[in-house]
Amino acid sequence: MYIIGTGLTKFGEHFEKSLLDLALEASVEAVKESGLELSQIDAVVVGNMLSDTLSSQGHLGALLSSSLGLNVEAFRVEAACASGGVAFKKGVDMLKAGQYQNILVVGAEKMCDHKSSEVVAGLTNAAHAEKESFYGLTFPSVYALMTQRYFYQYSIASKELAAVAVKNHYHGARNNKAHFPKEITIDTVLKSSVVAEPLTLFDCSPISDGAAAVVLSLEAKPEAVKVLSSEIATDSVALQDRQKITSIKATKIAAKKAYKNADVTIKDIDMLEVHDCFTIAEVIALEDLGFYKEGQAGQAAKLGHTYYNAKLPVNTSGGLKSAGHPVGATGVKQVIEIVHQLQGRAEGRQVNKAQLGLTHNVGGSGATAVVSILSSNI
Amino acid sequence: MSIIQNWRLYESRYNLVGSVCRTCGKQYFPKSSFCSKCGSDKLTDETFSKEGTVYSFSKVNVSPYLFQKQTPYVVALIKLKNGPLITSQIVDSEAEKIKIGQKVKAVFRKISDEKKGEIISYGIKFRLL
Repeated sequence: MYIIGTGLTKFGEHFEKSLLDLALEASVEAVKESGLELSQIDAVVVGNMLSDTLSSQGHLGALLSSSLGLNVEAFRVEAACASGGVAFKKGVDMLKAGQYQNILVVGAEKMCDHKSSEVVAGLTNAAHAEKESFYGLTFPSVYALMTQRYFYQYSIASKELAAVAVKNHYHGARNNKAHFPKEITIDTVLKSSVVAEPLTLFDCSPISDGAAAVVLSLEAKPEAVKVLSSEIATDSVALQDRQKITSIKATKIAAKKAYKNADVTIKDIDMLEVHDCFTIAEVIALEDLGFYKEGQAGQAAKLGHTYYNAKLPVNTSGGLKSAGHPVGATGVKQVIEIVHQLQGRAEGRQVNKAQLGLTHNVGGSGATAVVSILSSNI
Repeated sequence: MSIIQNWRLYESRYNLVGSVCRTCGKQYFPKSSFCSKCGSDKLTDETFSKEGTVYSFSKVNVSPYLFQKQTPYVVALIKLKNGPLITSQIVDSEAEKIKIGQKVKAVFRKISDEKKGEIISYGIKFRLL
């Protein structure tokens, strides 16, 4: 199956727009780009995490499809920060099932309307309520626990993590859809306020509004991008129940399945969009996806290996860090970045001769992982 | 968390009571009725040791509403002596002195502030030995 249309709002603070306004904007753009009529959309899948908690709105499938003038099957998918990636995978599954021809997948999140303490509390729902949130764990602190253990086991420190944020802001500064399109320095990260030790404000992805949409189709058109595979794996929601907290087992399992079903190896992959909700998450992702051995990806950004024009381009969109993290939109935005790269539309951050890209979207501290592989070779 | 949710968990929370799988020996905290390791449903209650070591920790400066009065505070993963890895806080200790591998001991504490119409939650936190 193929991605034949993409739509992406700017990520950032959209006080003048509602969750539905953002979802509609991305959806209409994606359908227009696909060349299809709205009436040719057979189903709508919406990825969103926080609409009940923050916007007092559930039932997003029907809300969006009816607002587009459709009466088709539509539903919402929730898997914390992996909601968008899981929605994409569900769209792929529905096409595989053979009942439909064209599916609209939309990821959307509205976070900036609310006080940061409300958003922090909402995001904490991705952790285990009885085992983690009850004791005052916040999302940054869950990743901080992973970071602290990672520092203890391997020889990297805050400086190496800061290089990840610097690299992602370098990319984001070249993406006009990014929430914070500004370059930063190592000092910006190290001297920013501490959120949960050892993670500072600039180790964390921001709170953003935004929406991203793709049209998936059984039929290719010129410039379409082929979905070679899309796989999900899950693991314990609470860190305390994992075999280890310096890697994410769900990523390893999903990646293994995705490589196998796409019939590719990591050597074939030209670029990655990985889930850098916190800087440590990008380091761990590069190891779990197989590009580095455990404990060895910490130097990648610092050595310049993961810039868009280097040997392994990672998060050319700016990642969650600089492009922003409207939670439900992120997984779909990652897919769009790869599509635009494969189509040669990535302007100031275009990867040279990219043919195969991978997306990696994580829910919570690693309880859900989605890995998808996309190809320009249709 | 509602009064009933709290009530259901008070034994685990007040006394570190968890479960042990009688088939494979895997330990759970709080209590569990099913073993995710071996698939057995033969689990029995077990009171875990009140001592443990720090597995990981983080000082939290930005907190949710119910924890704002105690911010900053230190969250931690604690490996209980002969028991499972559990999540809690480290209190009565200077954050700068906490290190992975240090020995800690359980103390009974208020966990979070009350929310209107709900009860105050209590449970186990840890202090450095």
